Amino acid sequence: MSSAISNLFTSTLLLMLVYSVFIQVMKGAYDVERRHRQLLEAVSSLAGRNRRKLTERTEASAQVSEFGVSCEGAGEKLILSDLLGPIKASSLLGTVKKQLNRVKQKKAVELPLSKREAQRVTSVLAALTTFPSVHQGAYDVERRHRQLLEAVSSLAGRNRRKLTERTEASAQVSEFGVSCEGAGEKLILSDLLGPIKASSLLGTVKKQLNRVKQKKAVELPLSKREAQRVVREAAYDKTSKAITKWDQVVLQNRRAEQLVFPLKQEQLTVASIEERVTSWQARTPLEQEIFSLLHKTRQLTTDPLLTLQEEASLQAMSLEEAQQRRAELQKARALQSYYEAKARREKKIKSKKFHRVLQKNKRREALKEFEALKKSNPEAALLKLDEMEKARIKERMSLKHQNKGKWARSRAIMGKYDLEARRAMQEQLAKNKELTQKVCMELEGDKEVCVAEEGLLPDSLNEVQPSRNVANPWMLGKLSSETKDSGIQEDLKAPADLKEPESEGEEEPVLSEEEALLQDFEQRRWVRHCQKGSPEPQGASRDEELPESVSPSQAAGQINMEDEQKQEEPLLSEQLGRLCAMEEMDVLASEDWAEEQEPQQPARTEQQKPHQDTAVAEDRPRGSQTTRKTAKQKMIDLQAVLAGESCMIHCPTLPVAVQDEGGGTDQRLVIKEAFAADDVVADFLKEKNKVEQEGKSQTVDLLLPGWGEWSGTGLKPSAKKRKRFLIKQPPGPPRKDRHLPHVIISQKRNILAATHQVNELPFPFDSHHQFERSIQAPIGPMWNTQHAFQKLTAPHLITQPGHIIQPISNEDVASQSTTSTHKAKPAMELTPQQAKRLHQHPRKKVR
Amino acid sequence: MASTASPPSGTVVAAAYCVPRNYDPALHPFEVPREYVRALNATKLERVFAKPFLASLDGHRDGVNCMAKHPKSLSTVLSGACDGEVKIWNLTKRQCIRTIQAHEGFVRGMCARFCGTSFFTVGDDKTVKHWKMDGPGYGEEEEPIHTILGKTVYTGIDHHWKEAIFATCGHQVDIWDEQRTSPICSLTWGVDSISSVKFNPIETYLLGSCASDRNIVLYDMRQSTPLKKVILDMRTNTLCWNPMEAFIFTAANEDYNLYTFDMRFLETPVMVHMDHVSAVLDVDYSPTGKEFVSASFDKSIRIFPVDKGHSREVYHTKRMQHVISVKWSFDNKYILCGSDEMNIRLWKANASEKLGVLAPREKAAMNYNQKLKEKFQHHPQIKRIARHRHLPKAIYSQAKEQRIMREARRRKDLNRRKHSKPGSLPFVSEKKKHVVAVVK
Repeated sequence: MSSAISNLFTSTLLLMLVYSVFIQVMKGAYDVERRHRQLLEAVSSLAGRNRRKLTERTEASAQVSEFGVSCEGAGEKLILSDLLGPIKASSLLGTVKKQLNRVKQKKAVELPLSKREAQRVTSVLAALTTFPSVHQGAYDVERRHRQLLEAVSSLAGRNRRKLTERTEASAQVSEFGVSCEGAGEKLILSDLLGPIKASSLLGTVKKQLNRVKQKKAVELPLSKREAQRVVREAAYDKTSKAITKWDQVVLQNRRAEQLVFPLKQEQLTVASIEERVTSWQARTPLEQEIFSLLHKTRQLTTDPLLTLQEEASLQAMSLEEAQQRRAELQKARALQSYYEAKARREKKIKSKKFHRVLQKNKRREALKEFEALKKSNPEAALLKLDEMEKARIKERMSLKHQNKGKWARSRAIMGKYDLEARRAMQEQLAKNKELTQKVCMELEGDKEVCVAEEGLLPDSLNEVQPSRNVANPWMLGKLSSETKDSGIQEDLKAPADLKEPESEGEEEPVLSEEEALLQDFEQRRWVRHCQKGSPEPQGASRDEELPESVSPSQAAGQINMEDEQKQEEPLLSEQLGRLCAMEEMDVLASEDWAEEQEPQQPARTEQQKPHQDTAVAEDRPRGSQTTRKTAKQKMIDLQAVLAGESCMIHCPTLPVAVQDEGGGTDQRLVIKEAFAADDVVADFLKEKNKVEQEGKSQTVDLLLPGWGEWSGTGLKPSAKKRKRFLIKQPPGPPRKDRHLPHVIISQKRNILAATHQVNELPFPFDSHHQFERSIQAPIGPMWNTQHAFQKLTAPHLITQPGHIIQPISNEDVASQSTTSTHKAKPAMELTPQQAKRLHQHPRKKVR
Repeated sequence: MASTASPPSGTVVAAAYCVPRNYDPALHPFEVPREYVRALNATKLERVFAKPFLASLDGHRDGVNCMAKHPKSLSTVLSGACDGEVKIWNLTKRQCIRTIQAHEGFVRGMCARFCGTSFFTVGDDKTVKHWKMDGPGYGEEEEPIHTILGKTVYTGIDHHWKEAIFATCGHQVDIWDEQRTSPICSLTWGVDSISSVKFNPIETYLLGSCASDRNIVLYDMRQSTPLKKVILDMRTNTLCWNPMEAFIFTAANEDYNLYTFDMRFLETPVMVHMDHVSAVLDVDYSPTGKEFVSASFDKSIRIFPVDKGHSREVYHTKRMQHVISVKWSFDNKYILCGSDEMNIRLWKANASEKLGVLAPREKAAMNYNQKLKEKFQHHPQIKRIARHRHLPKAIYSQAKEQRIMREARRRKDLNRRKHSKPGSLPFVSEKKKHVVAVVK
């Protein structure tokens, strides 16, 4: 019983084992099966009929069979259980099928079994065949397989060819015959590796292949034209990128204030004398002679401590001599150090008295020496004098002994109570005076000359300073405040006034020169200030004269922005005429000015006379009847017109109701009452008249009394002279509002100047202020120091005559960047911004 | 200037005579009017002294077709005539120092080697000849160092700026090694006769050429490939690279204009230079790269600033015919032009410049005047005088006619735009108008 039970147990165990193995084996089994079929086919094909049959079958049947596995369909998949379909159902294989299905649900198919396991499976299978309930089919398969193997082995060598033949026809993928025919058929590399039995090495290859499969396929090569184009494009991109490195350099050069060509400046090197000398050779007999002479004396080209001769003499010295010399030297050195120590000690002494005494001694000694020298050696004395002069100059420059130091101030405070302090101060001042006084050699001849010079100088030079010349304060000398008023009468008085400060100067010898200068400056400033503040009638007339003579500068000032046409006009105005001389240039310049003038000319001619007359009438007592008449007529005319028009004005905006009789008069009365004091019309006329008068050109009196004739109190310059120097200005253009009685048109815009004015803002400027400033900053040497002038007028381009300018190169750029700090010329240019900065102090605005 | 303390002459003496000046503006009033007058006078004097013509070199027996500058000697210039004769001139003596019968037919192009020891010529006889700059010794034959026989006519030649390489053009652009008889490489893009080829003086591997099918082609010698092609309205006769700005070149066009291009942006020229009234035949940059000179079929040469659309100067003489070639000397002082009527003319680059050594004070005055002219250049009177040029009647009337035509065209354009749907006729700038296409 127990044995039976154990037998049953073992049999069931075995079965289970077999089944469990079977699951694993299935793939192998299938493989075996497949191989078997293949072999079968191969064998049958040997007979020649089977192949055709096979293909027919796969074509006809939709059923999947293990004989012709096709992957033609798109989504078609090989399913193992389907492969088992044809194998007729046995209970054993039924379970296998089930297992397969289960396996199918799992994803990964495991690796095929190893050889050992496969053998074990086959042995198990063999065991199964012995098992009573084993299906006949399985056994059959095994048997048939064996038979086939035998058949194949008998066929021996012809097997391969058959195989290739077959793969041509079959749709099955195999590594021996790869075909890519068929519509949607794709060659998958990993499938090619399928038949190769698993080794771990190929596994990685498979993986890589899979990865590759995900990438895109390489496209078709381009046509030649296209390819060339691509190459060109790439080359162009590369080149333009490479050439962009010049951008910075080019920009820098374009913006540079100054460029110096050639770019490669030759570096000046100083060749040493030795180099020169060694390279030089005497050629001519004269040279050779000189050379030999020089060589004989052993003249040196450089200057070492000792010459050759000296060295030689030193070498030639005997021992005693050398010792003696050494002793001398030692002594000298000791003495020197001793004196040095002494000087240092003395310098350290803090006592002021000591130093004072010391200095006094020194001075005395020096004076003595000077006296002695004067007698013995006048030249040396002169040198001494020069030294003293220098000391004086130094003293004058310094603020020493001027009672301005800390000590002096303290003395000044103490001075009230302390006699000693006062004395010290006095002493110091005396000292200052003494030092600042010019040392004069008592030479009789010189003195005489001085006197003579004083005599030669005419008094008038010192005295008569026409106060109108205040524009040049240097010519004034010391002017008292009284002379500020400019006028003839004052001028005459001037000498008397001028004498005053001089006498003052005599009275105050303490007044140092700096103070005098300062005073002078202050006075001059005051003069200028006065002139600006309250211009005298004559000054006013000059001022008014200005605008006309300043016309070009007005041209600078007035910029008309109306024209917005910014078309680039040609740089040259090309004409048929040829101009050769300055006069013709003048004509050219005045040409269009004349054009502008022409239309106004007739108007002016008819207007000229009355204008002139009125102008004259101002100065002269009104003598001529005609002038008065015209003036009067004009006035009357204006008034009449104004009166007439004021009556006729109808204001449509006013409500009509107001215009009825009673109300109207009432209101008019009210208004009249309200504006009783305002005579608007008369005011306007007055105003207009004033404007007209102002606009008229005025006469200028350039008379200088005493110029070429006697002058003084009670003497009046002759009428002839007065007439000659009374300069009438040419009448300006006629007023625009001369026919418009109720309008004042401002005449500030000077037509005569307009032709010289810039009427369009030039390119680099942002606003007319900028432009004006750039024009107003003068660049000439009259207004700028030499250095500034050179900087302001530095040319943009400097070339050296006779030097070849090579194209820019990489080396140039490199050298430029390194030496840019040295080479970069400051080149102050009048860019608007700079001009703004440069021109800080207010200047007369030119309108 | 005159009113300053005036020393006799020279800086040393000036220092001795130096007088301290007071720069108080109150003492020197009317600075603007005074400077204005000075500027006006300076401008007038500039015009009075504008005598640019220096010399005429005659000796050729046919029109001067091409010229070459000597790279190392300022006084030497080479010229080739339409009868195949090449002459070497000495400019200081103003005479011909050597004559070679180089080719049969035209001398189409010539260039000097960068070292100045030899030069190359190409002619209608399909040959490239390499000559020594120095003449043959006594008893020796006048013979070229090398002669290369080609299959087609060469129309232009240019030498590399640093290496022993030169480029010819004809049916294609060939790049030659001096030692070899066959080109190193041939660059083609389409088939057409190329009229001129020029090496870039800065990035020396770059070449520019212009062909008769209206295009300008750029090449890269290193990569031996063309780079880009720009097609203009009309044919470009020649081009010239800017010697200071590597990517800028100017093309002389048949449509009377010159176009300055940045080689990186060929779609639009940087500047269109217009003033000539006939085809522009040659162009050459000043060595400073700030200006260039152009020779035209209208019997005049003009000087253009690189950044201006119009010329600053026009040179002509009664006898000068169609100007075929023009060169700007390497010292930035002179201009040479060779024309149809067998003469080479020497001009000053700056018409009113005083030649020769200037005293320091003279130089200072010149600089001051120059700055004054610049400062007041916008003032109408000064501008007018500075701009005034005499022109021969033919050019004058032509220019006038063209102005009228241009105005009419502009008006028509305006009218057309006015009467069409807004936006349908876009405004095309003058720069873009002349570029037909850019081919990659």
